[in-house]
Formats: sequence, C-alpha cells, structure tokens
Amino acid sequence: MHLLAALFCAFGIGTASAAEDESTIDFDMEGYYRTRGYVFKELFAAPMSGPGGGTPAQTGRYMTQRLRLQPSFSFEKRAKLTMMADVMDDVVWGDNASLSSTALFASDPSNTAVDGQESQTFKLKRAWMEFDIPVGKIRVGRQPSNWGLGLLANDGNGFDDLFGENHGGSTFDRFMFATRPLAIVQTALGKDAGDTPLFFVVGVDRLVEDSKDQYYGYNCTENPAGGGWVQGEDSAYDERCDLVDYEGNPGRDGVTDTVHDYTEERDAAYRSQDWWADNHDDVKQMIYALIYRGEGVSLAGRSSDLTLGVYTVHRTQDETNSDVWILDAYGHLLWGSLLMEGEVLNIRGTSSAIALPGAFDPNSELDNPLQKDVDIWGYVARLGYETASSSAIFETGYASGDENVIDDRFTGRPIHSDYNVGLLIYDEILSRVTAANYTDSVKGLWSKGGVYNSRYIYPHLKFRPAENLELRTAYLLAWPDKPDGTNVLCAADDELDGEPLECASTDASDSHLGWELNVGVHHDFHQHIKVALEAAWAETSDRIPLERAGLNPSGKFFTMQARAAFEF
Amino acid sequence: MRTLFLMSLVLAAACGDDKAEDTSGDVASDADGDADGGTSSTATIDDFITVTDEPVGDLSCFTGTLTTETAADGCVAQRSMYGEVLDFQEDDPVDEATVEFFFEDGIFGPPDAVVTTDANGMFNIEINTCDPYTYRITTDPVLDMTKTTIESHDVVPNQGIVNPSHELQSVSSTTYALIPTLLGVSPKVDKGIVAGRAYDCAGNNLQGLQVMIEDSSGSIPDDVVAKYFIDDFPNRNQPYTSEDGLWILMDVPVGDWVVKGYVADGLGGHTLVARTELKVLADSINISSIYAGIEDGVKMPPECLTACN
Repeated sequence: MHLLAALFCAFGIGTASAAEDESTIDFDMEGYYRTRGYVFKELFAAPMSGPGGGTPAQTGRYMTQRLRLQPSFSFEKRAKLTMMADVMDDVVWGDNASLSSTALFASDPSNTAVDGQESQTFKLKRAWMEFDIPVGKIRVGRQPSNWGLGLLANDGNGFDDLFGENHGGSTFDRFMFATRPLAIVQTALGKDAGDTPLFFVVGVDRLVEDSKDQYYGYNCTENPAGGGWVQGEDSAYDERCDLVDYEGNPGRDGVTDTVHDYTEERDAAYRSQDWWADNHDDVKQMIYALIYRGEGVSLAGRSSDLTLGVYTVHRTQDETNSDVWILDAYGHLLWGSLLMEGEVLNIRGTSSAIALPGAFDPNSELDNPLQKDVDIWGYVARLGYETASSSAIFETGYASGDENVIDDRFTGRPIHSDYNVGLLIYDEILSRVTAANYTDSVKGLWSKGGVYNSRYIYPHLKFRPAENLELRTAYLLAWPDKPDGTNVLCAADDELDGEPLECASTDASDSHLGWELNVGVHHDFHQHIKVALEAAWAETSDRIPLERAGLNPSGKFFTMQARAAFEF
Repeated sequence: MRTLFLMSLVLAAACGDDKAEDTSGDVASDADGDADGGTSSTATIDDFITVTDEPVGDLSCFTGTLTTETAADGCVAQRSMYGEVLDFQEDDPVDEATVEFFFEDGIFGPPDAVVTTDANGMFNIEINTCDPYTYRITTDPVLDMTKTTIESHDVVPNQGIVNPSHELQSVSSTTYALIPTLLGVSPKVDKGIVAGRAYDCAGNNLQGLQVMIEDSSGSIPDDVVAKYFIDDFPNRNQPYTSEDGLWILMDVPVGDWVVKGYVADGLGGHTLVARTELKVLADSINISSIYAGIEDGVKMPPECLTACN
C-alpha cells in the first residue's frame, strides 16, 4: 500500500496519477454533472408569496443542477495541485431572474439558487497542493475535510448518501502533515519500515484572520436622560465606555460617551492597512488524528476490514476567551459480512463568542454574560449484515440539543447537513422550522438539514438484484432530546437531567418527533451514468411547530425526487 | 414617554415563573375594592401575582384608589405633528410604513387618518395634543419587514404654538420571530402579544411589579404567559419587572382586555397599583404601558396637566 493511500481515503485526499516521464506534469479531471428533480406534495400550508397566497397548499416541483469540476496537475507521485469548482451550484432550472421581460418567452436560464437569490455561475471553492517529504506528506491550501462517517467533518463529495444529496461540504484553509509513525520509528532503528497501516496527522487551520464584527465583551448603554452616565452618580458608569474627554480628545472625563452592545456589526470599509495585524481576534485550530486502517486483516480466522481512529481539534480565539476541544472517534469493522460502524463526537470548552441576543447571566457571576460552557454530543452507530447482493443495517444516531440557547451552557449542534438521514423530517421540515425561528440574525443555529436536537433509529435495507441496480428502503423514527419550546415543543412530562423540564408552555403530547419511510431505486449504467428515484412519506407529531414555518399543519408530507448524474 | 421598549415583544414568554404555584392564603385585592382572581377554566390570579419583594419606585401618588387624568383647559389643540417611525430594537427609521391613527383611542372601525412614512421614516399629521389616541403600524406584508404594531393611549404633549415632534415605534419581523425563539416560546398566530412598561409616580420605571390580564368580567384567559425583562431584553427567569420596568404577556386571545399591575404590600399580599384597558388583535404586538395610580392607562404629559394658552 502506498505510504499514505489509506490516509488519503480517510481524509478524502485524491490519489496522484503515475507519471510517465520525470518531467511530465499529468493533468486529470474528475467531477460530475448532476441534476435533481423535487416534487413535494402540500409541503406548505399555502403558497407563501404571490397571488396564490392563502389558497390551499399545492404540489410544488422544481429542478436543480450542479457541475463540479476537480482538475488536478500531478508530478509523478510526488506532488500534486488540485482544484475544485462548482458551476451552476444547485441552480434552479429556468429563467428565475426575469432575464426575459415576458416570462412566457423566456429563453436564457438564470443562476438562481434554491433560496431564490442569484448566485455566481462559477465558484472556485477549493485549491490545494500536496507533496511528499522524506518522512511523510504535506498538504497545504483550501482543502476538503472529511472524517469517519462525516458527522463533524464532511467533504460533501460524491454520492455517498443512502438518500438525498450533498450540497455543502467542509472546507478549511489548512496546513497538514501526515506520516506513518511506526514506519519512521522502524526506519530509524534500521529495520524494515513495514506496512502497518497506522497514520498520524497534524495540522493547523486558520479560520478567521479578522472578523468584520467587533467583539467587546461588555456593553456600553445609553442614558435615556441623555448626556451619558456620570462617574460616581450612576451605577451604569463604565470607564471602558468613557473614551473621550469634554474637549473631544482621547481620555476620560467621568461621563460615558460610547454606546454599543457586546458585539458591534461593521463592514469592511473600516479596515485599514493593518487590518490583519491583530492576532487577538484570530480564530485558529490545531488538528490531530491517529488512524489505523486495515484491509484484509485476519480477525478470528476471517478476513476483515478494520478502521479505528481518533480526530482531535483544538480551536481557540483569544479575544473571546474561546478554548474548545473536539474529540471525534470513528470505528469500522467488516468481519465477513457482519458490519459494525460508528462515530461519536464531543465538543467541549468555553467561549464568549456566541453572541446571541438576550444573553444573560442568571446568577450575576460572570464577567461577561456571553460566556458559555460548551458540551455537545453526537453519534451514529450501525450494526448489520452486508453482502455483495444485499445489506440490512440498523442505524441509530443522536445530536444533542439545547433547551435554552441564551443561558450559560451551549449544548446543541446538528450533525453535519451532508450526513443525510431521510428526505423530509430533517432535510426539509426541521431545517425550515429552525430557519423561521432563528431568522437571518442567528443563522448559525439553523439545522440546515442535519439531524437536530434528537435521537433516531434508521434501519435500512438494500437489495441488489443486478450488479448495477440497487433497491433501498429505510424507516426513520425520531425522538426529541431537549425540547426548547420553540423548535421542538415541550410536553408535560419532559425531563432534563432527571428533573422536570421547565417550559413556558406544554403544547405537545407526543413522545416522538415523527416518522418517515424512504424508498429508492439506484441504477448505474454506461460506466458513468448514475440515476436514482427516491420517495419519502413522513408524518410529524405535535412536537414540531409547523405553522411557524408556514408548513402544512396536517403534519403529513410526501416527496418524490429523481437524480441523474454523469460522474467522471 | 411611551416608548416601545418591546425589544423582544415577542419573547418575553419565559418558562415557569409566571405560572407560579398557588400561594394559598395570599388573597390579592384591588385598591378599588374589587376582588381579583376572576376565574377561567384553569388560570387564576395566583398564577400571575406572586411577588414578595417590595417594589422599587415612587408610589407616593397612589392613595389607594386608581384615578384617571384629563387634559387641562386649552391643552387639547390641533397641531401639525412631525412624526418618525423607528424600529424598536435598532432605532432605525422605518420607511414606507403605513401608520393608521384612531382618535377614539381604540380600533373600533376604520382609521381616522392614514399616513405613509418617507424614506427617512418621517411623516406629518394633524393631531390633537393632550388627547389619547391609538396607532397601528404596518409595512408591506409581502416584504414581511415588520410585525403589526399597535400602541394604545399614546398622547402628544401640548408645547404651545410649537408643532410637536413624536416618535412611534414598530417591531421588525425578525425581532418578533427571534425573541420568543430565544426564550423558548412558540407564539400562536391566532393570538396577540401585549407589552408595556410600568412607571411609577415620578415617571420612572417601576421595579417589582407583576401583571395579569382579565376581561371585563374578571375571567383570566388560559395559556397566557407573563414575562419580564432585564436590561431591556426578555428574560426567562425574571419574576417581576426589573429596573427597566418592562413586561410582556404572550398568547393573549383576541378581544378587549384589562391589564392590572400588582406590587407586594409588605404584609404577604398584593396591591393593585396600575391598570390599563386595550383591544388585542391576532398576530400583532399590542402596546399599552401602565402607570402607578392610573386606571385607564392614559398618562397625561406634564404639559397637559396645567392650563395651556
């Protein structure tokens, strides 16, 4: 096995093409064109805009498309430059920008995305290089990140989901070094390097160089009577808000003169030549991974595939006292036909960077009411039977929720949106509910289609009557984790850590969020063509406030979706 | 004066505090002699009024009986008022807002006057000073920028021959959606929100007050949740008005209601110190502040209480 071939697979790194000549740079192009059609029966309560508003719900349909190009230039097997660009990225078919003054005579289609806004035709999303060094491999640049099942880091590449589509993908500006530590030690000891597939990765990501929003960590309030707060007279006086003296010169005069919140929105116009020089506001993270990836390993007399690994991230930002650790463990065992696979992640630490409106310090103990302790959990586990012709897998998963996002504990995070579970409950319904509730002001808390504030079971079956034909079916049943009273409504007997959950109102009675049945047919032909037909029926419980998102209050949903793709 | 402090009108619905356990033996009685605790199917006054901490504020004007204020001679006069509609949270002007004025101080029919703000959120209208009125602000529903905001008992002061200027406030749809979300409440579209500030006799915010709502017969609607603010933002755990005096009632049914404000009397009971009446519309924010000693929620500015030229 190539020294880092398994690592490439684990981290989604493309392999280098063999060079025919020492001076030859080989060019390769990978990618795909895909188009997907969506039909939703009565998804909405009523058409939300236009003259049809208020009329009974209708069956909505639309088509999207994407062309993904991933060219690469490689020099032998020692160096490689890879780029990834999306063209017409999830663009809706047709002229949706009134390029034609009369819709009936439309001819040139527009680049309108599913959110109804115009998008760039061409987006270069990733570009990175990788090269060998004597002790390993280095990869530098804006690159994909994928780990395990993709609960945390999911590159969004390809067509790897049981149902649904990948739309986003994790991308980081990263410097990464990968090596095979045992091989180095063996070589250093003068022994054969061996082929133990144990890999170690270390890297550094630069997430933010300078945030446009200014973080203060304290607020400067306005005196309703005018003239600022006076030192010695007003308890609200804060010397940090007293920046200018009575003559207008920098300094304090005992009267506050600045008004701002804990954070302040700015635009890029404020930046001067030294905008990048402040390291205090930089967001950076170190990544470490250790993974064993064994193929054809003999276990209890059977040839097995075994992968075990741990991925660790340490993210910091000095300005907001953010110090967060992410631990993500992944395991995969295919023992004969028995499959066991799972990933569990925990995010913990402290941060004052999560500036939500209404943040408060319930016990008046914190210097900064934005300060939060972070403790987030998620997992997916699969157990089943897999052969060349069929598979039966029982899957369960969990994404921790947060019953109160503005207190001092931050415990909720959805699983990555490109880890698709079903087609309706998470992908469409809860994503719309969280978007409607959190609005654009708090977009970071949207579920975006990922598993959200719940635990679920998702048994699924695959049957392959022919080599290139696969029938799939799956059943989803989900339960809420921490009802928050607005995205997931509370029931009277809900508990939190063994104690009754306090909610403003208990509008729900059902124990579960809802169920969903998925069926699909997937067929590959002409070596590059992939077609799929998928359908889903779902019924949500009274736990989900459908009306808030303008969704069909009956709670019954149906979708049929079809995909055609050319993969190269 | 009656500013929209409803930064989070929508949200105030906090959990638990206002659904306090029954304090049996704690009989709340109005200063005017009526016994509160009108019954509905499940809600009682004890669900709302539980405060034991003494109020902070000037209650010297309260003699035990709620009163009403009327304008002094000559103070009700027509003036050309310069108005500005501001977003409640951001204080940014709201352009293209439709402002309807109801000079009978209630929405009993079509508006008496309608104006539209310009690009700077400004408008001009002929209005009577020292005469309470109600206004309603809306924007284009297709754009969904603001939520229908209604304020009752607003009064423009008489400033002599000077045409007055006045600020009206509306609540953005984002604020309306976000605050309840952050506080764990899912407001019902067929009900309304009532909010306001509690003022003491000196016109300052009254701390330590709790509010409840009932109809004219004393019936308290089910499922109404009362919440209070800290630092002008709704707080899940605040049990009564804080220094900012703000309060909010969530999921109030459509109709005519009376909001009553109570403070602890220091003897284990409660005293009704403020009251207002208003009409609540569905899917809207209905603002009506309460003033110590005032029965109908109409507080005359000082300029209206002495004879005007």
